[in-house]
Amino acid sequence: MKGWLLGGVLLVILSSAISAIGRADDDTCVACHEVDIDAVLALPVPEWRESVHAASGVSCDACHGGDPRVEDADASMSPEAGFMDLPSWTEMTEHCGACHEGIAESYRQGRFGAALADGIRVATCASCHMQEGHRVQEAQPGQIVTSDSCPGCPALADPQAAVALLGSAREARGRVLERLAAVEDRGIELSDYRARLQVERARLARAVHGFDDGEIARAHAASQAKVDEIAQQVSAYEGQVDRRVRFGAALLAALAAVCVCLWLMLRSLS
Amino acid sequence: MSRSRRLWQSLDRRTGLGTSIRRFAAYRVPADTGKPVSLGAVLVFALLLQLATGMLLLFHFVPDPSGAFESVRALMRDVPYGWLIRLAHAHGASFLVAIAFVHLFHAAFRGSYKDPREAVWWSGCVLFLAILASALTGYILPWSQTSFWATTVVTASLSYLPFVGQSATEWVRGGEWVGDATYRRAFAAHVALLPLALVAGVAVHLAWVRRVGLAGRPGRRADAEGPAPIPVWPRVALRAALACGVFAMALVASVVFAPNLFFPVEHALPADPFDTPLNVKPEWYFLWAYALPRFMPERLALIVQAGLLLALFALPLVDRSPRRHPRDRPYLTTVLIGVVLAFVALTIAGARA
Repeated sequence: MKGWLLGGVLLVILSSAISAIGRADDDTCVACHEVDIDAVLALPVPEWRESVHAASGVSCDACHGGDPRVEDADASMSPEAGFMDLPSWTEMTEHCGACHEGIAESYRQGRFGAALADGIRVATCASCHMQEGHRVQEAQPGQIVTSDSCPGCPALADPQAAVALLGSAREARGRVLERLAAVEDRGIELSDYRARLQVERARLARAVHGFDDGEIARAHAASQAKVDEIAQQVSAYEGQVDRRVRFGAALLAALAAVCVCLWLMLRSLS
Repeated sequence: MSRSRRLWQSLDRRTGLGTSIRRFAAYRVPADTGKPVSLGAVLVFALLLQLATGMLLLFHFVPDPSGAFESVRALMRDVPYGWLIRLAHAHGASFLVAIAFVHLFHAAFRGSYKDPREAVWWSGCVLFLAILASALTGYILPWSQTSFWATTVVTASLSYLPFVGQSATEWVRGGEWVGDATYRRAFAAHVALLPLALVAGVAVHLAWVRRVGLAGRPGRRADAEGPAPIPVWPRVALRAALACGVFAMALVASVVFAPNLFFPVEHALPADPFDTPLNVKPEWYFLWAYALPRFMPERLALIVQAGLLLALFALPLVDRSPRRHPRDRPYLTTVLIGVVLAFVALTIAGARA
C-alpha cells in the first residue's frame, strides 16, 4: 500500500513538473513589453507574434538592437547593449537591408532609391510592409499597390499589370510548394527544390523593388519557366510516392498472411 | 534416399549443423516462454535487420561530412529501394531501443536478474548500452542539422563532468568543436566497434541464458514450481516467429505510412554550423536526459544519470532475496514503477520543452 502511495505522489510531482517546463521561454523585451508597461508600448508584442518575423524567430533586438538576455530594462536598452530605438525614414533601407540585402540593393538601384538619395521623401520599407504595425507579413502586392495607396504611381507605367503578374507568380509557387510539402510528408526530402523556389521568389522580389515594368516582366517570365520545371520534377516524385505506398501495402499484406499462418499453426498445437 | 536428403546428411556430417538445430529444437524452456511476446527473439531479429540494412547502406553512403547528406538524399530519392533500406534502418533503430527498454524493465519486474542469472543481467545491461551508443552514433552520420546540433548538445553535456569535463568533451569530439574528427569517430564506432560488440555481446548473453536457463514467470512463493518445461520446437519457436512477424509489420507500416515519424523538420536540412535551429533536441530515447537539467543543475543531472546506470548494474547485488514475484518485493517494484513513470514523464517534458 505504501508503495502505491509513493508511486502516486511521484506521478503527481512529475506531471506538475512537465506542465511547468512546457512553457515557452520569451526574451526580456517580449516579457516586459507584454505585461509590465503601458498599453501603447505593449501594443507591438501581440502584433509581432502574428508577424512573419516571429514565425522565423526574428525578435525585437534584430531591428531595435539591445540585449534581450538582460532583465534590467535600462541595461538591456542602453547604447552599450546596441539599442537604437526607431530608425529614421532615411535610414530605413539600410536598417532593413542589414538582413534583406538583395532587396535593399535593388531598391537603391531603382527609381525610389535614386529619389531617396536625392533627399526626396518616398516610400521606404515600412511604408508598404508595416501598414499593420509590427504585424509584418510577406507583402501582398494587390493590397499594397492600390489606387488609394499609390495614386498615379510615378515609377510604374501600369502598376495593376505588375500586381497581376506578381499575384500569378505567387499562386504558381504556392501550388508547387503545397505539392512539395505533400511529397515531403511521405519521406522524400526536397529541401533543394524548396530552396530553388525561394531563389525564384527572391529573383522576382528584387525585380519588384527596382520599380521597372520591363524588368519585372522579364524576371516574371524567367521565374515562371523555372517554377514550371520544378513542378515537373515534383510530379515525378509524386509518382514515386504512389509506387512506395502500393509496395508497402503489398508487403504488409504478405507479412499479415505469414502471421495468420503462424497463428493458426500455434492454435492447432493447443 | 532423395538427392536433397543425401546432400543435407553430407552437410550435417561435415558441419554438425543438423545436430545443432535438433539440439536447439529439443532444448527445454519454461512453458510460458514467449507469452505474451517473445521480446528476446524480436530483439535478435531487429538487431540482425539493423546489421543487414546497415551493410546495404554502406554500398551507397558517403561517410564524410562533405558528402554524407547528399548521399542520404540520393539514397532516399534515386537509388532503387534505397528509401526502404534507409528508413528500415533509421526506424529500426528506434524500434530496437524501444524493445530493449521493455525487455530490460520486463526482466527487472520479473526479478530475472537473481541468482543464478546475474551474469545474464549484466551482459544484457552492457548490450542495452551498446544499443544506445549505436543509435547515438548513427544519428550523427546523415550530417543533417539535427545530427550536428544534437551531437553538439550531447557532447557538451560531458563538460559538466567534474575535473575531466573539458578534456572528455574534446576527446569525444576530437577537437574543440564538433566537426570532421567527431564524424570519423562516430562512423568508426557505428560501423565497426559497436556492431562487433553487439554481435559478441548477444552471443555471450545467449550462451549464458542457455547455461542457466530462462527464468520463466515468477510464482508467489520462492519455491513455487511452474508448469513442466517444454521443448523450443514447435510452440516456443512459433511464438517467436509470430512476434517477429508482428514486429516486421509494425516496422513496414511506420516506414511506408509514417516515414517522418522519428525525424524533426531540421533532419531534412544539411548541417550548418553557423545556423542554430530553434529547437535542438536529441532522439526520443534521450529526451529524458535532455529534460533532466531543467529540474536540477547540469552537474547534478549528470550525477543522477550516472547513478541510474550504476543502479542498473547493482540491481542483482541489492535485491538478493530468492523471491521474484513483483508483489513479494513491493519497495523495489514501486521504485521500478517510479523509474518508468519518470522516464515517460521526462520524455514528454523533453518533447514539449
